[in-house]
Formats: sequence, structure tokens, C-alpha cells
Amino acid sequence: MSFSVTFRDAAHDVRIVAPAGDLDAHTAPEFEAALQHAMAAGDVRLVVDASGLAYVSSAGVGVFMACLDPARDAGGDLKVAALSDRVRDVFDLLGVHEVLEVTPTVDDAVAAFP
Amino acid sequence: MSAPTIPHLLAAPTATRARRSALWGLVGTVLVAVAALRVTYASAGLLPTFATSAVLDGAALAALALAYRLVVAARGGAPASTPLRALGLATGALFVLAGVTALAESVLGVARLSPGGRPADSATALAGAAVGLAEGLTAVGVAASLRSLMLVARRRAVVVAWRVGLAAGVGSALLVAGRPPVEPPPEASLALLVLAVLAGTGLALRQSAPATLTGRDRWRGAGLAAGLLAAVAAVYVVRGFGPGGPGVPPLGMLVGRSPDTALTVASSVAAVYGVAALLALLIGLPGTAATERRDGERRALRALAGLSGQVLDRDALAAAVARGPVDAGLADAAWLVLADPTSGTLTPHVAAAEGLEVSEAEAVADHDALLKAAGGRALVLGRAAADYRVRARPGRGLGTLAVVPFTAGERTGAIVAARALPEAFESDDVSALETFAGQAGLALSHASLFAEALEREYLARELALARDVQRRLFPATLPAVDGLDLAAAEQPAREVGGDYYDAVRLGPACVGLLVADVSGKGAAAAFYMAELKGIVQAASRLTRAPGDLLAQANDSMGASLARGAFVSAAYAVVDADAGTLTLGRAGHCPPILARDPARADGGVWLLRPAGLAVGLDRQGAAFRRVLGEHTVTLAPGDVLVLYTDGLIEVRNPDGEEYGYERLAAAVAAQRDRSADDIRDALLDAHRTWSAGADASDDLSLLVMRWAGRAGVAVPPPADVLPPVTLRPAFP
Repeated sequence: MSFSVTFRDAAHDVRIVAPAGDLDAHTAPEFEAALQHAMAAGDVRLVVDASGLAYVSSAGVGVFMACLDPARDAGGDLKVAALSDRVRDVFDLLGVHEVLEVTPTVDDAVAAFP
Repeated sequence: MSAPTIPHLLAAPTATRARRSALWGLVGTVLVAVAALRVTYASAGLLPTFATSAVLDGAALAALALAYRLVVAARGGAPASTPLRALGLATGALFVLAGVTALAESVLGVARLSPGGRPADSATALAGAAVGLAEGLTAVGVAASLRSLMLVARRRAVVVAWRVGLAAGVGSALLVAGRPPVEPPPEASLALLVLAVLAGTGLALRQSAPATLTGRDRWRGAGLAAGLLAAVAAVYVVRGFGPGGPGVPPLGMLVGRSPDTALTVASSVAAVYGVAALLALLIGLPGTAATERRDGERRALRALAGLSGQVLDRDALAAAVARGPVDAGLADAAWLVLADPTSGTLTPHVAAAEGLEVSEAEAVADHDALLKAAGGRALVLGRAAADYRVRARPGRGLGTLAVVPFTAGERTGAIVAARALPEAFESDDVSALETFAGQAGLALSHASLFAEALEREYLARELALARDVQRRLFPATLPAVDGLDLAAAEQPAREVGGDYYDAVRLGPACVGLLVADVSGKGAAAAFYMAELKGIVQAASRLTRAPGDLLAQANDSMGASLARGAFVSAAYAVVDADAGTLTLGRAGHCPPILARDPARADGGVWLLRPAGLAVGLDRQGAAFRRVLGEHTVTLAPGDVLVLYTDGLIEVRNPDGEEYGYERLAAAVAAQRDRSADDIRDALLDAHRTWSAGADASDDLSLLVMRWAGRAGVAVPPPADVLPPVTLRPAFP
């Protein structure tokens, strides 16, 4: 299963990150590098469009957790939108939605930025 | 032995070729004009004045010098194409000359010379002119052949000796200019002749070109050397003992003494060279240069071989590789270029240099282009300063550059050897460098393999250690409590998994049951596991509330978990005296509770009290706020299964996950059996589902069956399903 990450801009100075494929121990480093790269470039208002994610392992969840605090420390935030049922199950089970904002659609996430 | 590649820059452009033709025309014109004038004088029965004769001789000698330059330039100054060919050329030229002279003399019958040394008639003059021209051109051919034979493996001394010899020969010829044939040569001319022969002798004794011949070529070389001697002898015989008889000047002298003397010098040196070559080839007497170089090569290879014991230090090995050609006398400076695709550096870089700094070596040339041009074979830039890929300016002490590539495992590289003089490598040097490069490649690849093996062994040992640590973390025995039946299993997918279970005794009739999953695997996972076990062992003595224990684990581990790492856990406390079970879940797979379906509150459920995985909220406020606890009043026959996601995420050959539903159904179906039997049945179902495929995830399993206990009342059917009460752990 191939894995890719694309970026696009949205309103409110928000950058949308769209990973696609399986986010597991093999692809997590690539995803984390993409997020770190965006944050290093000053994009700290991030929305992950998870609609293309078919599967997220615990290593994949780790990437969200690892990037959340740096984004917030830099005055931004990391929100996740458009989870598939399968991925939402993983998030719910671990309680990820309690520590980062999960919205039904990308637009909701963008609008949730102050 | 592969001949060195002569780079394109030596191929003469068209403009140069046209210029060369014009110069050859000039040579021919001057020589023919000189001969014609001599013949004209002779026909008229005149002897030219000394001055006129000297000018004619000088002109002829200048033309011959130009011819020599042209022959040498046409060869591009390259090392002799082969020593055999050069030997053959010199021998052939001398034989042809002997033949021409003999023919001329036999046609004329008796050389007809006037008392003053003048030719007696036009026929003699004509024949003399022809022989004289042939002598001059032969001298040029022999000199050019000797040059390519002697000017190999250039050192400064070799070049100096050659130039001295050449200058002495020309000087010797110049000093006889204008003198009539019958007059003996001046002593100075003879002295210069001796000097030229001495220089030639020095070069001949050093000669390495024929000494490198092997096998049948050796015999051919010896034959040609003998032929060369015979040819020289033939020339002397026909000149001295021809029809004119002893004491009569050779025919060639009739048109000028300088070309004739040039031939004398050239053929004398050729004779010395022939003797030296014959001895070298027949007796195997190596030239001094060859001996020196063999010694050097041996030293270099020995140094490299000695270094294979030091493969641990790859920098030292690289430095030794760069030092090798310099130590062996094969180069004035050398450096090692490596391109390592495995490290992502595709552009070759200088790993070590000898005779100059690494940064200087890096700046000398475009190594990438050179390696590409070499294409796996040795590339010799005879005039490196003129090559577009070489950045060092002329005059910076860079004459010749040899790029000798090698492969070392997945890496490719090259030894670059530099000489201050141009055209300083002969094919023999290049093959020595190739041998050396092959050895270097081998040593470097051994060093790499050794380092990799060491790394692998280190990792394997680390993993084995971690696995050992992990094995000790799992409880050796499960606590025995009246009324409770416990069973557990763990099955790591790889050497060290991230799963962990434990069963701790909290009191005479009270146990804590934990199943946890650390994100990640390997040594780090084993470390987190050990930390978790310590926390569980310590905190379980202080609290019987699952939520409290999980919160303490979150507080403690939040500081030590790597960024993005977390632990999911389910912790149940069973109080056998009270017949209750309390469960906390920190982001873990929901435990399964199965109750006798005969009861009104019977069935099977996934218990999912709210809770964050340990490490998601490291401040702990959200962790405590969210965390809930389920309490179950146990009925006899109740089964609780704690497990990790390896049990439910296993896929069958069609790619379908086992899933919660099937697991819950399997637990319900086995509910009546012992904890051991339930565990075995679940593991069997797991194996059957995966159809023997290697489990991609590890799994842990803890099964508890409540048999009931004397003095503990059987609870009435619960009025809610699942039969649990939920309350926040930190109200």
C-alpha cells in the first residue's frame, strides 16, 4: 500500500495536510517528517485531512501526538478532520479525540481556528 | 594487461594535422634541396667551401631535428604502443639502411672518390645523396624508437638523461658540420658522442619496457633485440667495409657529415640498448627501475595486507590506500575517491589523500565526470592540465593523472594517482595501480562487511538482551486465590514485542490484572515495559482503585516516554471476598465479559469505560477527567478476558480481520471451561484464523474465570445490561 502526503492552503492561514494510504510503523516517519517540515516553515495552524487514511496504527497515532505540542507551543494547533470509521475507532479507543480536536469535515476544522 | 586509455585530448585536431603536413613538406624540401646542391657541386667537380658546407649540414640537421619532433608529436608522446613495436621499427629502419647502402655500393662497384673526398662523378654523388638522406632519416627513426623505449615510467632523472643524450648527439653532429668526409672528426665531437652513448647506456640499463614482456613476447623481444644488434652491425659493415674498402669514407658522408654522425650516435646507442635488452630478456635481468618499482609495489601491497587486520578503523584503511601508490613510487600524490550509494552520497568524495590535503584533492578535478569517463577501466590523462575535467591549473605540479576505478561491495571508488610530469605513466604503472586498486577495493569491502556484521551482531545482542529482560517481566506464576481461575499467554511477533501483562496480589483475596501495549517495539518497548511493571508493582501496594493506579502510571511515564510514544492498558482489580471486579481502561482494547446466558442478565459484552492511553495527556488533568471505572458484581461462571490488539487484528488469508465480534463469540462459547482451556481455545482460534501465517503483531492474553466462593453471595440478575455500574474514577 503506497503512502503519500500532500499539502494545500486554506482560509485563516491554515495549512491542510492530506495523508493517504496506511499510516503504520513504516510510513509514520514520512508523515512525521512532512509535519515537522511544515512546522519548521512556520505553518503551525494545521488541519490533517484524514479522509484518505485507510488505517492508522499506534505508531501512526504517535505522529499526531508528537506534533500536537510543538504546534501548540508555536501558537498554532493541530486538528484532525474527516476520519473514516475505522480510523475513528482507533482514535476513540485510545482517547485521542480528548486531547486534540477531531471534526467531521475539513471546513469545520478550518473554521474552528480562531 | 590492458593498455591505458589515451584520452581524446591527444587526438590531434584537423588544424594541427594540416600544420603537421606542411612541416613535413618543409623537412622534405630542405633535405632534397641540400642533397641537390651537394650533387650539383659534385657534378661540377667542385668542393663547397667550409662555410657553405657547414650551412648545408646545419640545414640538414635542423630538418632532421624537426622531423624528430614531428615523429614524437605524432605519437602524442604516449608510452610506446608496445616495446616490441618500437624495437621492430628501429631494427627494420637500420636493416633497410644497410640494404640501401649495400645496394648503392654494389651498383657503383667501387666508390669513386677524388683525393679531396669529392665524389668522382654524378652517379656517385647521386648515390651518396640517397644514402645520406636515408642515414639521416634512419637516425630520426631510431632516435624516436629509442625515446619511446627509454622514456617510460618517467622520473625527472630519466627525462634529464634523455635530454642530455639527445643534446650530446646533436652537438656531436653539429661539430663535424662543414668538414670534408676524409677529415677525422674533432675530439670534441667524439667526446659528445661518448657522452650520448653513456647517457644511452644509463637509460638502457634502467630500461623497464622490454623487461615487462611476458611469455612468448619475451622471446620475440629477445629476437628483436638481437636483430637490432645485427642491424647495427650490418650498417657498420656496409659503411666501413663496403666496396670502398676500409678507410674510405662511407657514401653517406659525401652529402654531409652531420646526418652521418647523427646516425652513428643513434646506432651506437641502439647497440647499447640492444645488448641491455637482450640480457634483460634472456637472463631475466631486470632494469633498476623495474626492481625499484617491484619493491615499491610489494611494499604497498604488504602495507595494505597488514591493514586488513585493522578493518575496524575505516579511516586508517582509507589513508593507507591513498598512501600505497606514493609509497610504491607509482605516484607523487594519490587519493582515494569513494561513492557510496548506501549512504545516499552519490557524488564521489575524497576519503583520504597522500601528498596533498583532502580539500586540495577534492578541488583538483571533477571526480564524478572522471569516474563516469573511466567507466570501470583505468583512465590516464597524459596531459592532465589540459583536460577540461581537471581544475588544477598547468604549472601546479600536475602532469599526469591516472584514475583507476574499483568496486568495494555496493560502493564504487577509484584511486587517483598524480605525477608532476606529463606522460609519466607507462602501461605497466597502470596495471600495477589496477592491481593495487583491486586489493584496496577488497580491503574496503571487507571493512564494510565487518562493520555491518558488527552492527548486526550488536543489534542482535541488544535485542536478545531486551527479549531476556522482557521475559523476566512476565510473571512466572499467577496468584492463586480461592474462587478465581487465572490463565495467561504471551506471544511476541518479533524478538521483542510491546505487549505486557501482569497479575499482582493486592491482598489475601485480591488480585490486580493488567494487560498493556507499548507503542513501538524493540529495546525501547522493553524499557517502557520494565518501567510500567515497576509502577504497577509499587502503586498496587498503595491503591486498589484501577483508576488511581492508571493515573499514577500516566504521571510517572509521561516524563519518560519518548515524544509520540504511549501505552494503552486495561487494569482490573478482583476482590474475591466481595465478589466484585473493578476495571479501568487507559485507551486499551475493551475487555470482554461473558456471563451465563441462562441468567436473566447473561450475555457477552465489550467493557469500554472511558479513558485515555497513558502518555497522551502528560499533564494528567484530561486523563483523570476522562477516566471511568466499571464495577461488576461477579456471578459464578463469569469470565473476563483482557487482551491486546494482536488478538483481534489478525487477518485471515482473505485479508479479513478476526475482530471483536468473533472474539466475544469465542469467549462466550468457551465460558463454561477452565481459564486454561479458554486461553488455549482462543489461541487455537487465532492460529486457525491466521492460517499459520506469521503474526504481524504480538499478542497477550489474560483470562479470569470466577468460580464463586463460599460466603460470597450470588448476585441477583442486574437490571441493566451490561451488568456493570459506571462511575468516574476521579469524581
